[in-house]
Formats: sequence, C-alpha cells, structure tokens
Amino acid sequence: MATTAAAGTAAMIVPRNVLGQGQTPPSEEFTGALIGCGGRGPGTFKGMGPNVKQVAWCDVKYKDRADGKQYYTDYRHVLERADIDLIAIATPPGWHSLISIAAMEAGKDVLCEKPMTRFISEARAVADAEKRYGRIYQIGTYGRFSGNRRIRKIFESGLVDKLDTVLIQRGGKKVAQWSGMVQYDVRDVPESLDWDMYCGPAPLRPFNPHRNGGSHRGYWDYDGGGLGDMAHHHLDRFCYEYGRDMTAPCRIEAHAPPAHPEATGMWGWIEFTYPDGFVFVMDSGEWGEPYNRKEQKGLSEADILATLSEEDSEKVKAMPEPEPLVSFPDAIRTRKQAGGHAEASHRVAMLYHLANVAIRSGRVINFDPVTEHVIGDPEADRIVNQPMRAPWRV
Amino acid sequence: MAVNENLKKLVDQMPDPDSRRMFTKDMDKEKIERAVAEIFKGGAVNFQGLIDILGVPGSAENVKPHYALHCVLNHALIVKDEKARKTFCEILANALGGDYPDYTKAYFCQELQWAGRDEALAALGRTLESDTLCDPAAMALVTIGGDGAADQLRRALPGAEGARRLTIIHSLAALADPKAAGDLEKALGDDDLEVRIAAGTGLAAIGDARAVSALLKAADGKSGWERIQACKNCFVLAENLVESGKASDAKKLYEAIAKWNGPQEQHLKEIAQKALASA
Repeated sequence: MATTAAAGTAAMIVPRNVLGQGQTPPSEEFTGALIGCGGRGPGTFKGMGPNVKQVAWCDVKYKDRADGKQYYTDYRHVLERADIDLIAIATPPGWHSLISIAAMEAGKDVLCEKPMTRFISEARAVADAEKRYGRIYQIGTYGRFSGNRRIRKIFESGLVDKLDTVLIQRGGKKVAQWSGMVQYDVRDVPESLDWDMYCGPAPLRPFNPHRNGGSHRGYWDYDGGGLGDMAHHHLDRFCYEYGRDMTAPCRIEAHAPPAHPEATGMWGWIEFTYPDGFVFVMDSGEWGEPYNRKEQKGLSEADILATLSEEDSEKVKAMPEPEPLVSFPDAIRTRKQAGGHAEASHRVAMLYHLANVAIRSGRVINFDPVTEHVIGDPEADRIVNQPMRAPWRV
Repeated sequence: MAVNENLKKLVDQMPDPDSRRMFTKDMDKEKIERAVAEIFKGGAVNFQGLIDILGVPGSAENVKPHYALHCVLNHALIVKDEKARKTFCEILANALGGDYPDYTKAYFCQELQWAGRDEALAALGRTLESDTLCDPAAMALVTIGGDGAADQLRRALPGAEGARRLTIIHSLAALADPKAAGDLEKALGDDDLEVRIAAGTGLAAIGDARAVSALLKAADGKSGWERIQACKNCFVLAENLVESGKASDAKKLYEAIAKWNGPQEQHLKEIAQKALASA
C-alpha cells in the first residue's frame, strides 16, 4: 500500500534526489515530510518555503492513525520513501541528531528545530553528516540572517587574534519555566503514545506526562532546560557577527546551585572565555546575584578594528562584505549552503551544551575547541558525549 | 541497616520542591553545598546511608535522598577526592547486587555512568544479565569505556538473546572494540535487522580493511532502512581507512558505491565518484 501511494506521488513530482546535485527538476515544487507534529511542527514545516507539498506526517503519538501512507509513528519508514525531498524535524531534541543524520543519509535536505541536539558530540555528528552527504541543513532559527556583515567581515579576515571584548546577555532563558519535576507520579502510558519510541536514545523511564509535550525541556534525557529552548535564538546572531561560529570557548564557568541528576533547574550566569580573549556572559536574571565581574565593552566595529595594526585594519576595510546568507528555500533550489548550516549551528549549540556541562558538573570547564573535548576532567567530558540506548546511534 | 539521625538531618537540608514539584524556589547554593560537604565527610557510612534512605522513585520521601546522593557523589569529583569517589562507587556497585527495585538499581547504573571507573566494571558486567537493567548497565559501561568495559560486554555476549543481545552488540559497536570484530562480523548475518546494522556500525568504526567485503556484502541486496544504514557503514569505513592511510582499501569501497543505482543513492554515487577522482 505504501509503495503504491509513494509511486503515485512520484509520478507527479520528480524528487530532486533522484536527479542528483546541480540538476533542475521539471517542477520547482518539492515534497516534504514533517517529523514531530506537535506545537512547533507546522511552523517548522512552513519554514521550508512556499513550494513544498506535505506528503507525510510522523509522530510517536500517531499510533491511532498511522497508515504507512501519510501518517507514521516511525520516522525510518518516512525516510525510506524515495518520493520525499525534504524533512522538517520538530521532535523533542533527543531525536534531532538521529533524524537529521538519517535523513541526509537517505538523500533528503533537513530543516531542524532548535536546539540542534542534546549533546556536543551529537551536533558534531550532524555537521560531519552534512559534509559527508552534501545535503542542505538549516537550523530552525534565523538570528544570523540579520547579523552585521561589516563586523562579520573583520572576523572572517582571520586577522583578529587578541580581543578585549565583553558581551553580556541578560534574561530571556525561561529557566524556571522549563525546569523538570523532581517529584512525580508514575502513570500509565496513553494508548496513542509509543513511549519507548518517544524515549528513543534516552533511558527508558517510567511514564510521567510532564516528560512529554513541551515540558520535556525540563529533563536532561531529552533537552537542556530553558537553554535548550531559548539559547540558540539568543546566540545565533551574536555567533555570526563576532565569528564565534568558527571557534569555541576554552573556559566555561557557571554560577548555579548543584544540579539535579535528571531534572533541569536553576542557574544564575555562565561566563565563556574564548582563546582570543573574547568574554561572553549569559545571565538568566532568574537566580542568585546578577553577574558583576565585568562590564560590557569593545563590541563595536571600531573597537574591534582598533585591535588590529593599521595595516591590517586597512586590509579589512578593503575587503568586500561577506555574501548575504542563503535561506533554506533558496539553498534547496540552488544547492548553495544554507546560512544556518550544520557546522555553524554546531558551534552555536556548543555554547549552550557547554553551559549545561558546567552547570551539571559544578566545575569550571576547560575545553579544547579543536578536539571538542573537556580537558583534565574525564567525568565532565562524559557529558559531551552520552551513549545512546540501543538500537539508536548517530 | 539503621540510618543515623545526623545523616537524616543533613539530607533534610536539601531543598523542598515548589508547588510545581520542581527545584525552582529557595535554591540556597551555600546551604546545599554545606550539607553535601558534611555528608561527604562521613565517608562510607554516609554513602551507604544515602542508598538506604532512598524512597520509592518519584515519591516525596525520595526527593531529598535522591538529589543528595547525586550531589555527594559529584562532590567527590568537585574536590577531586579519588579515594572517596572510588569508595562511593564501590558501594553503588555492590548495591547493584542488593535487594532494591530495578528502577533504583537503574539509578545506581546512572550514577556509575556519572562517576564510576574500573571499580564499577565487574558489577555492571553482571548487571548485563538482567533483562530490565541491561540497557542502563551497558550505557554506563560504554561511558566508562576502555578495554575493561569492552571485556565485560564481550563476556556477556554468548549468553545474551533478544533485546540484550542487541544492546551488547550495539555497545561493542559504540566502543569500536577491535577484539569484538569477529563477533561483529558474525552478527552481520543475525536474524535481527538492528543487530545486523549495529554490527556493521561497529566494524565501520573499528576501521579494519578486512571488513571491506563484509560491509559491502551487508549492503548488497538490502532495501529500505537497512540499506540506508548499510550504505552509511560503507562510507564511514572508507573514511576511516583513508584516515589510517589505507586509501587502496577505501578505493574498493568507493568503486563499489559509485556503481550503486538505488532510488535514494544518487548523492552517494556522486560522493564516491568525487572521492575516486580526488584519490
């Protein structure tokens, strides 16, 4: 049945992956599937552009309507369909890396909701898959698209090696809102929900409704609290403008009470220090005293140019501005890399993941931006790369 | 064992959940850390005591001891007290053989995943024999890593069936254990599709040139999800071979991939052709 339905659709619209890179299909229309159909799902799908015909819906809560033609509970069956070009992912983040990678393996392009993944190693794997398979990947947040390209240009020149810059972002992280329950009742799994599939790569826990349906953000198994929900929005533009998506911080310190082993909770501020001296601070404004170690400074184009020699400064001024970033709808048409591609998004995601490593470990984290591992603290490094429950792997 | 009153008082210093049953109000860092440090000072007696006062998972009486146990174990890492960390983990490992509910034992596995090292391996290895605890035990072993963890998994493999067999093959693959290469190659012919895929993943990660023909065979004639994953395993092996200087073996894989014509494989074909052109 599924094969018949797929063949019928394919007769109308030739999927791009059948034609290969650089070839124009007879139709500018694409076919897409949405995996994770709750709250953000339809909005994420819409972000793929106007010419995308939705041919499949997949959600672990569709046990009561899965027909193997339009509705699915298992994304693997969606990815088996050769008549689908694009995948929009709006599942809880525990699934993001797995589905993103598998979709690219199957030749699909991907628009994935933030946060990019649960852990640093998962995001690295997505970026590696994007490179290996030459597919389009875009994270579902777009702050960088309005970033200052004149500042970006200075960092892209590669001439900046020493900064005296401090950027402090205050508020907007929904820390208390997206905390997890430390006391809960174990309930029966609703009949329409495939709970084992919902947990996926995370440990299979007894069911509690708070772990499902938006409030999943409050559990380390699936997400990273308010940071998981909000940080990519706040960080995307900053990382683009200041070239922080080409590197990573080397020292991370969190001010927070001891973290719970399963439920996300409160934190006050996190201070990131980059190898070039750039200091970035996120202050939640929701717990403890506000960050007061340093004042914000050195952020303007003139401030940054002033760190260069006169000769280098002139070189930068003579350089053209970076090209405007390519939107997902344009990227899938032109096969140019999307603005929020996986490698850049990984560097953005690394910040909130490292923040959570510091919060959860209760220790100052020294991080190697090249190997992407914690230095001198093997137990903290375990939070960089958590194993997945069988059979899930990236 | 009777838990001493002083420990109970210290555990009671942990925060109370708020009206949403969360730790979002009155999180007094100094107060929590003082109590945690005090419990920690009590050493093995208090470590065992924390285990003994755990309540039913999720219940009100479990909230404080559950949190305190994790904080005290993590405190050993914060103050870098290796002796205390080892002692606590030995106690947790012993508790895996004790009379506790499986969900509580899963919590012990989780804590050993957080802070355990060699002292936890044997107990975690024995726990692989449990149908309900095999997953958390295996995840802890993979996290601890190294030859000792792989030894435990390999030892458990012959007696494992069904979901446990999948978990163990999956974990050996995650560790990319070269000593498991023979078992993984055998598992490529398993009846369980996920076991076959996991075995291929492991062989690709190990990156031994002897796996070239086995992985190509594993992809041959397959369709759907298994074919997608088997193709990925071929690519990963090819990349690992190139990285280890075995370009001629990688070439065999790329030459085979360049001939693939599956409905979702045009992009794979192009990548392989590019790899061959740049070789």
